[in-house]
Amino acid sequence: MAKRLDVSALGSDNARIKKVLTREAESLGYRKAGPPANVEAKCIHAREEATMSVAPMAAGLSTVRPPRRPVGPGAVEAVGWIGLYVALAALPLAAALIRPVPPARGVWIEFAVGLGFVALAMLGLQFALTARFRRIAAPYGLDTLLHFHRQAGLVAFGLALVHPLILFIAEPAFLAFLDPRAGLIRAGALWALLGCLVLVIGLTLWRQPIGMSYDWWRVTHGVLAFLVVFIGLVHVLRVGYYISVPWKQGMWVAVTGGAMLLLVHARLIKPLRLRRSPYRVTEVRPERGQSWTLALEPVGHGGMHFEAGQFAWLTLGSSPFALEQHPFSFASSAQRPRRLELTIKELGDFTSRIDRVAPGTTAFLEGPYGAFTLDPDAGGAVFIVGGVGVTPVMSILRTMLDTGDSRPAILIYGSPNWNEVIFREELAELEEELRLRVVHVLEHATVDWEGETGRIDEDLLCRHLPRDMPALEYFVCGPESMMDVVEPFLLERGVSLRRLNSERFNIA
Amino acid sequence: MQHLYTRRLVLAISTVLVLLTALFAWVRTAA
Repeated sequence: MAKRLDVSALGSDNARIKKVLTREAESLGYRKAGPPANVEAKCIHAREEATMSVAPMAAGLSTVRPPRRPVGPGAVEAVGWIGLYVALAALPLAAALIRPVPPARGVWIEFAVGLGFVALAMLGLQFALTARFRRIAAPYGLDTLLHFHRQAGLVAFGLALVHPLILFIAEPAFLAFLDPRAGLIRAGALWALLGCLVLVIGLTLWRQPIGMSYDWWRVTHGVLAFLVVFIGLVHVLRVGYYISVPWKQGMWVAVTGGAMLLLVHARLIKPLRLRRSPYRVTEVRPERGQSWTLALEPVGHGGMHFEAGQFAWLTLGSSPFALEQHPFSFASSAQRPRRLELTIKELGDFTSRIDRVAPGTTAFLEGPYGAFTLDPDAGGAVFIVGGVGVTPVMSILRTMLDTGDSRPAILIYGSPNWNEVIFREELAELEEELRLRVVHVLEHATVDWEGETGRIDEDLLCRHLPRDMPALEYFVCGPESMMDVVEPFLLERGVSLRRLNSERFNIA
Repeated sequence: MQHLYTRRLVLAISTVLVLLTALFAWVRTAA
């Protein structure tokens, strides 16, 4: 999922940010690409060319063969949540079949009405997906959950539009619902519902081209979504064809109202709770690559206990209700909950102001979130990152150092040039202290550079990755164009999805 | 890649829901 600065970047700002990210991706040498063809053949070729200096590390990793992770409660939970989603989305259909049921109409009319029920149920469930419940997000990662929210929203939008279209075609008399002469309030509400739906989808798809800030989009999105579900609920109650008995009316009000309460919970209750656990900015430290590290200490509480690789939503200022809230990965060790550090790259409006944050500033953290974490049972780790995507990996490595973790790890790290390698010096020290090997990949190297150059591609990965790849845990974090190259490659090489941890910059 | 799987999952869930809706309409009118 994508947090750090990039996230915020895409999340927080406008089209400029996407250009910046694209530029960063290009500077790192990435391009959009499909899965590499004939991966194994390429790797065999690359292995033959691999230098001897690589072999010991690969050999060391290949000796670690932990048992494959069994299907545990996490996988069961993941499937369970999906089943619950389908069940809740289909709940109105089941309720409509319970007696008393009204006389049936034409099959197309019943189908259209059913689609309307499902659409409204899915729209209500949208609130649950974005309520940032750690329990729901845990099996998938919050970025995946938000991506699901986005895709499901498009489907619900489509179903909500098809619902009246089929009705109008099957029975033109239904057009009266949109006719002000037949009922001004009803027609006005339904036109408003349609307008809100179009706006909520349109602003989401084209926020950046029209230059809308992330923060205002977030507010607008919440208000419009609330209106859509509220008017949808009133529409169901007023039509009332399938809810002639009080318990059915109560079910609709309870389920849909509960969904809307989730929005209130996320936007009001959670910030209220955050007021009890503020932080103070103690240091704003410049890093390489136009990045800054923000150090925070808890004020009056024990800090935040997180797993290395996770992230939190940061709000700066005296109020947790501030409009600006952005997700960033922790860079510090998980063993130090009272000294939290976030490393942020200058990419957008919010992040470009980080250097002006004064020590002493109040901050609030909501979290931790994310599944970009090293399994205790994993035999080792392979990190493939680009740019500021190194941040969560630094948290994992620093934690490994603090806990005396001796598992082998390899970090393949793409940067624009040697001067912009974030954490360059500390990584060199960590190589001495951990069983870690760092492979720097520079897009623009000086003539005396003897390491890897260009972009992280399949040939480079073949040269440096150990052969028993599925036995290790893999972490990929960087620009989307890099991820689009690396993820298919790893999957084709036999890495299971459960062993592949990905975080994308753009989660908003 | 994980997002690709997410899209496929949403597509699969949507298909199931539309089929359930069709079943609902059939049950209602066939009764």
